[in-house]
Amino acid sequence: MQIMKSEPKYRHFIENLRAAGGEIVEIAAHTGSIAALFPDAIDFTQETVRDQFSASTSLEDLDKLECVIFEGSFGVAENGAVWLEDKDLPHRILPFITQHLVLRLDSANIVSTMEEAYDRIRLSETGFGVFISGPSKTADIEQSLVYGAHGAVRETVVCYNPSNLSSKG
Amino acid sequence: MRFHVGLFIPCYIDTFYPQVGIATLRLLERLGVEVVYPLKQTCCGQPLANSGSEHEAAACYRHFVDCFKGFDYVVTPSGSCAWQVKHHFDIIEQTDEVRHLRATTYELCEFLTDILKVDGLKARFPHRVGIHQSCHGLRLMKLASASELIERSYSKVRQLLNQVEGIEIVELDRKDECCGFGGTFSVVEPEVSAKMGRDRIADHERHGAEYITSYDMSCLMHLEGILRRQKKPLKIIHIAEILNS
Amino acid sequence: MTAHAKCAKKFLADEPRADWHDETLWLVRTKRDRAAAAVDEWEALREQASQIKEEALANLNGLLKQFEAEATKNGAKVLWATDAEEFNRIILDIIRQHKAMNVVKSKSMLTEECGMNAFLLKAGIEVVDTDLGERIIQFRHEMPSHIVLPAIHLKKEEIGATFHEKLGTAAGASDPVYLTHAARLHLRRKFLAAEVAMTGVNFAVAETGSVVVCTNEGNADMGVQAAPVQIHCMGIEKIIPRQRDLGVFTRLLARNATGQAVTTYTSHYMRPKPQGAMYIVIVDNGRFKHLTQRSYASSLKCIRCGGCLNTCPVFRRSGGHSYGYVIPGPIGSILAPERSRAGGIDLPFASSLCGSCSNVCPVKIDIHEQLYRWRQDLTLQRRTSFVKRVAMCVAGFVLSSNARYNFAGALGRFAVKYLPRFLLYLPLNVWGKARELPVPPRESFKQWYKRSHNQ
Repeated sequence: MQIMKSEPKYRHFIENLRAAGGEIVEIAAHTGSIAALFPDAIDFTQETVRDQFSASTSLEDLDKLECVIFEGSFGVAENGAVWLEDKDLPHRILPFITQHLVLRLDSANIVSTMEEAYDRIRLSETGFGVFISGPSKTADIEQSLVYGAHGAVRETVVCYNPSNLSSKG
Repeated sequence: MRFHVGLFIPCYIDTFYPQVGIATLRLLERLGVEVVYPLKQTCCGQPLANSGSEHEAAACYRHFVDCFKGFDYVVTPSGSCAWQVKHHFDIIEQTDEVRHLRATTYELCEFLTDILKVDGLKARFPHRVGIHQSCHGLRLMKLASASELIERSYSKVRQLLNQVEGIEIVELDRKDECCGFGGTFSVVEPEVSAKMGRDRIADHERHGAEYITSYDMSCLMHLEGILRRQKKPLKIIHIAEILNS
Repeated sequence: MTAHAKCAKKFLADEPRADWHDETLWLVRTKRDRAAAAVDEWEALREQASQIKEEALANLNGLLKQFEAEATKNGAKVLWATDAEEFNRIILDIIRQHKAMNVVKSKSMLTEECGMNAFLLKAGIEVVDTDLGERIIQFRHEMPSHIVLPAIHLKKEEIGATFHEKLGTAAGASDPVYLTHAARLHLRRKFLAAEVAMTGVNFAVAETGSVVVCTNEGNADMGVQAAPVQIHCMGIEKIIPRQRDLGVFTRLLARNATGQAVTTYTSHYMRPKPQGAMYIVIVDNGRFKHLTQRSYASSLKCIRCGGCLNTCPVFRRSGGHSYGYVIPGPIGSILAPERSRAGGIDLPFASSLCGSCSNVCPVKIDIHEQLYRWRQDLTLQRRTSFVKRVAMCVAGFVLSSNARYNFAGALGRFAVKYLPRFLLYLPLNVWGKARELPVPPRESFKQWYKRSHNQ
């Protein structure tokens, strides 16, 4: 697996995300229609939607969420992880309690390794931050891989602007 | 070659497998090495140390040093015993003699590849052979790359066996799992030890080996004991016997 | 027979099941090999991780103080426990202070070590373990048999039967997807009702005062983000100096544990949530004393990946419960003689010293060397059996003299050759239970050499 060295980070990110059980959707531009792809989703990248939820929203209501959309800060090529932090989360439980987690990600915002990832994070400026790689999973029963142990059963990363990158490979 | 080599024959080879000692001696002599077998030698003390009584082994270590002083190299057909001398003789006083001995004690295969740089060995062994990579030789003496480490693949044992005419080396499912001998482990944990041995044997059988070879006779003694109890046709053979065939 | 050997014998009595256990864990080991091989600089990373941990242990007091100061600045409350009793009491106090009844917990070997669940139960608080494997064994009143895969000793049919009884799943159902889904629904209710959520800690960053928890299931976050009160429990050795050190450890941990490139969730807890409370409880429980033992201090570098368990040929064929210590396998066998209340003195002998554990260890703990060292120290401390010590004394006497050695060898060859089989294979002859003795040769090598060299 020498791919890491010879192919672009973006391709590597996608491979590793798929290996972690995540799905990938590529759209042309930042403005690309994501609502059409996930018609029932609650899109937290929109300020008006964010304002409707807060840390005091009841858990019972949040438990009913089927699909939510967030903007990921950046992705990590070597493991398909996407960084989220609480400044983008009206309630910290949202990415976990939803059935389907959708993360938008600018294809240019991908670092190679976790070392590079931690160079981009300012932990001291957050209250909570998390790397998410794929849907929730467990293999606690006879090592059989099952998605959706407690967190999201599905994870989709929507990568925009991939065309800007493909020429660099 | 003008090396003055002391031959160390481990106690269980001396007692139960003299043919391995003879093959080692003849092989070295064939390769032009001047070999002396000090008659006073006993044991490297590993059985004691392995059981947690290395303090009782100190006298044995000193006796060993006394037997093997003054050689350029000490060579032994055992990775485990070589390691014992090189690594665990640190509890006795580190005189010049002890330091020299620890630095110049070699397991047979690495002596052939690293010091004699043997190439074009004249040996013939037309059989299917599985290599049992005994743990101390593998992971501590580094006779081959270990499966756990992400490193360049190499094997001093294969380097030698590849020079043997007619030999066919079989590939195993688990190329370097322990056979379960482990010195006193074989009697402290008899059930696990025997199970590990049976599993190793099954791996060699699955791949059609006629012989299991190793640079450590102790592992082979354990495997042979199980093979004979199970009345299986698979045979064991020390690598010195193949290289001298 | 030692306690471990006896338990191992029982484990091996069902050989097909033991084979299944062995093969399942071997598969995890091969996944680990593939994941490690995908990182060119793997061995350099291990070295880096080892050095960071050594640096952290060497400056532990300073780093702990720094961590406390930063975490306190962030709004967390930091509490200290010198032993298991104090730890349990602190946890109970926090729970009572918040008048909580519903407590959920994600995986923490420290709380197992301290016997916290049992302690809280006596005080009327039932802690719900939320890691699926942990919940399974909690239902069954068992101990985890593996530090990363707590229910690896169980078959899905057994889990199905347990879930049928406890969760009302269909009788006879054993499909892992079905069972996992049932657990998801059951534990969702527990998360939503939780007033206190506890977690273990994978890494505590001194520089930022934050704790990092890695899970695949998302149970740490479901608990922590749902409950108003979050408690993170850590041993003192979880400290690492800097945020950027996380880059090294998160690259190693999951790859070495399960062969994943990273765990699904790597959560960084810095500050309490709005209107929430955040506690960090830092526990000694024998660790500071352990650190003063020069030969064994480096065992505290362990990041609990479980890699040494998966690779250990003895662990795979004896099962985690055979070890009788909260941390089973090679790493547990070097921790137990220092830390186990039960003594754990048989554990350093429950190893063939093959060294595979040291080779897989992501922080390069010299596990097999410490097993060897413990054997010596337990003997010197007279913690091994008297009979064995005498036998070794005699052996040392024999092996230090040529004449005595030659006589013993001749006696051995004579015995194997001439003693009747029933005498030779007496029950005391442990070797002979599963193996034949070597066929005695006509003469020893030494005799041959003397004869053929006219000496």
